[in-house]
Amino acid sequence: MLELIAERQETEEFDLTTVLDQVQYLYEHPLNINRADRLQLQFLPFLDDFQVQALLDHRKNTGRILSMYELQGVEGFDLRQIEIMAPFVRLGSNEVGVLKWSQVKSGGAQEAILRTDRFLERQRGYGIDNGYVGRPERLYARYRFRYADHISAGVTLEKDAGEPFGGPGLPLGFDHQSGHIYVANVGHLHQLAMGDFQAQFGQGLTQWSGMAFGRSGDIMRIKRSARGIVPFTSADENAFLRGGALGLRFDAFDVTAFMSKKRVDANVDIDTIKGEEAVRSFQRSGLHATRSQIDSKDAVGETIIGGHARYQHSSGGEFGFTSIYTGYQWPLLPPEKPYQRFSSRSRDLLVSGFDYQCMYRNFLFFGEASLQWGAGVGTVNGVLVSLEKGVGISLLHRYYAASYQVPMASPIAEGGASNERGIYLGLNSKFNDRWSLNGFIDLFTFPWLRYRVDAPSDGLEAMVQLSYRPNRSWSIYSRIRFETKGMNGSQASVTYPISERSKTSCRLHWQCDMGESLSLRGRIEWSVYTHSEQYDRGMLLYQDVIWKPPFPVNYSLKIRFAVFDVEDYSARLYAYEHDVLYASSVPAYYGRGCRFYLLYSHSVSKWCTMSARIAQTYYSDRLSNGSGLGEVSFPRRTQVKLQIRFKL
Amino acid sequence: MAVGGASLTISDVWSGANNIAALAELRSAEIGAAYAHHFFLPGVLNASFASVFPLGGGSFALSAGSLGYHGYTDSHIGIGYGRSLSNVFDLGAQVNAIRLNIGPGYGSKTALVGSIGALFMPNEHLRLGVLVYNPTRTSLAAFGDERIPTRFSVGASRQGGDKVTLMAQLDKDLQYPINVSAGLEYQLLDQLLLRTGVSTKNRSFAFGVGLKRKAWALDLTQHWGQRLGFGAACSFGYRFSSKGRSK
Repeated sequence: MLELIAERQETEEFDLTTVLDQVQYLYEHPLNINRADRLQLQFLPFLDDFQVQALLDHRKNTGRILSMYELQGVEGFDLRQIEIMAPFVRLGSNEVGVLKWSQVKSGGAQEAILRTDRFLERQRGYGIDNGYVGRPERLYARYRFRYADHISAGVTLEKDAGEPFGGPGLPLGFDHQSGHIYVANVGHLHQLAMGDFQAQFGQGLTQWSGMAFGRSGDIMRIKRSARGIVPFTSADENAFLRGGALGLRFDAFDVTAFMSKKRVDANVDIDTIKGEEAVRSFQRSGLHATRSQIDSKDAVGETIIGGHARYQHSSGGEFGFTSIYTGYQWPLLPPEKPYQRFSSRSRDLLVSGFDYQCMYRNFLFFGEASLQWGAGVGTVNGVLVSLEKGVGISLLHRYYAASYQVPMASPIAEGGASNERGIYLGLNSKFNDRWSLNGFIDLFTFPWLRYRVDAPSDGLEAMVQLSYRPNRSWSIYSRIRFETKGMNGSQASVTYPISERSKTSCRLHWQCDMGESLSLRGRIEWSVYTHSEQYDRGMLLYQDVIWKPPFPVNYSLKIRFAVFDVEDYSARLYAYEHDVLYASSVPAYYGRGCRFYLLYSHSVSKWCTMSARIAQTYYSDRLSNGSGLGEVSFPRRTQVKLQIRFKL
Repeated sequence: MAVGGASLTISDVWSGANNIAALAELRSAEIGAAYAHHFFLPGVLNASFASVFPLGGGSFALSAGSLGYHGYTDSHIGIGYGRSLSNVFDLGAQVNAIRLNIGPGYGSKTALVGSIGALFMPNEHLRLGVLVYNPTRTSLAAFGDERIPTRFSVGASRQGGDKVTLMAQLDKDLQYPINVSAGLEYQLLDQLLLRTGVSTKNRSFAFGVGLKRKAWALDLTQHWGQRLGFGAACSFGYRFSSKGRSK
């Protein structure tokens, strides 16, 4: 299941903690679908909006669901779907209970995790002047208490590789520390958060912090399902708000207000004309390992105040209004480059957005329109249509003005929530129990210049995937993905001419379960990157062996061996790797060489699990690898990781 | 038009222009007229007429069309025949007389161009089509060995339930990169069809509605290309006897 989600987003380094968290919690505490509300059902990662609506309608008409197999009669569900969701849901009573303290005490789940990892090879940046300040170990610790979707409290601490531990400004030792207390769905109290939280509304055009699906193989995910205020539990050092939030619900209405005040990483300079400090650029890496990174840490104060009001109808229709104020301690002063002509130059901004969704028959319309006061507008609108059993399409149009510059926006986009218009069409078709086909095409245009693109430009991205599942233990899919975009050419006269850069990748993936304990997965993938009549090619071949015996045996083993031969970084290939629980790893494979990893997990007792992982890449085409401070003077790179998890 | 041009497997009055073999599936006489303004570009106007007459085990088609403006006109008249060779296989051939007229002063040329099409229906859900347009590489002018381009197309369509038809097609014209197109037709109501499609040739999307009432059919299409902008097309159809269309 985790793999399924990760594979959808297999293109970038991506923080999956939030979603892994949720899936793991559901696995250990299945959701009672006889009582769950729309929002809870929507967040089951394997149900789309039509299935949620069908389930709610079914529950309303026939009452309590008595057997999982009863769901086969509900529109949009088949046996395969039921098999996938079975471990994460249960069929409890449908009575809405009152939250009692004794329940919370007995039914709450506690979890603590300690993790460390490091590279065995010495990187160039350690032990030199202007290099990394701290030690190469990464340290991570977290604790969380959780009671269903009602109560959550937790602390997360992290020190990245190379960051100092302890010392000035780090009383707890860790560079990143986060905590939260969260209560939801108790009487009129919809959501209450203190400490670190994330806020997401509408389609993400006005405000969306935390993970969001982009354009992917799962075409129905093009519509966002905002969760309002959610606790923040990941180690991402940017994607959160710090302060307090309160949401109240009165029948079909809910109202949320929040405030966040924190300091963010930035390069601050003196504006020579006005003689006062100004923000040149923001630093989003979250790393504070070198002197200059430490200098830019928490350099500017940021205040965000926001509110959201929403009306939700039982038919699935809803309307929402969001307003967000963001203020910085110093004005923004990005460099005077033509592509930054429309970049925000004030110290505060106000943005208001209206979002909607409504379901008519088998059509689900959704969208959001936002106005950044004194600057630009953006709008995104789409429709999902469930055409007949197993066939659905999605269509989405978006327009974000170049002058629309909202840092907290994260809608569906190719570049960012600015300077873009595009149209997306996706198809999802299940021919029968064995064959299915899905794909999308997205055409996008950038009306203004972009970074390293000195003229207006456009592009296209398309994907087609054909899956075949002859029986319960075998599945195979093949996928072709193509993307082309305009970029600056290599030869500059006065300006750079724009040339097309395109990347095509072609994949065959197989998966086979051999009995209860053994599962085999493998893949071969080719890529070609084309730019100005030149071609860079790449290929990746790997095989995973997963040995996970059923219950009385208390250990599991996951192994991968991969070979890759990629001519240039631009033709790189990504592949999801198994990692210790809650960690995710989607490395880029490039160069020529091989890689393996070995992940061993051992349940010491019912409440304690230990995991260890070693991963090594060996390059046959170079004597050193990495670049800059991260350079290693060996043709290999080895990472070891240890984790202990306690749960109660 | 509205399915992105992935029309190789469709059986209707326009099969003479799309895939002549698909005519064999028609059982009644029909006429149609269409008008298209591609990307609303001045001069890129297309008017066409088509008719079908069932005869023996197949159908005859007569068609005519014209593209362009007074400075450049590309017009044709064609006759074709398609018939079933078995329950699962249809074959057809068509001859077009093409007349190309360029501006005042350059005069015009006429050439005969043939095309051969086949349609294969391995089961009730799936249709596969093949078309070779101008296999003889007909010469247009001796100067520079100018010839009418040859085009090869393969396509497939699938109708799983009774509402949705999916179509996909590859076209390779000798003069242009391969064109990939795909489309979908959705029967929303008995008399109302919705269509959408994409094509890589002009990086374009198309959206259309089809209305059917008794013997009459009306189709409206709006298309949009990433670089060329909007365009539109419409067509009428009339069916003479209602002994049931096979589609």
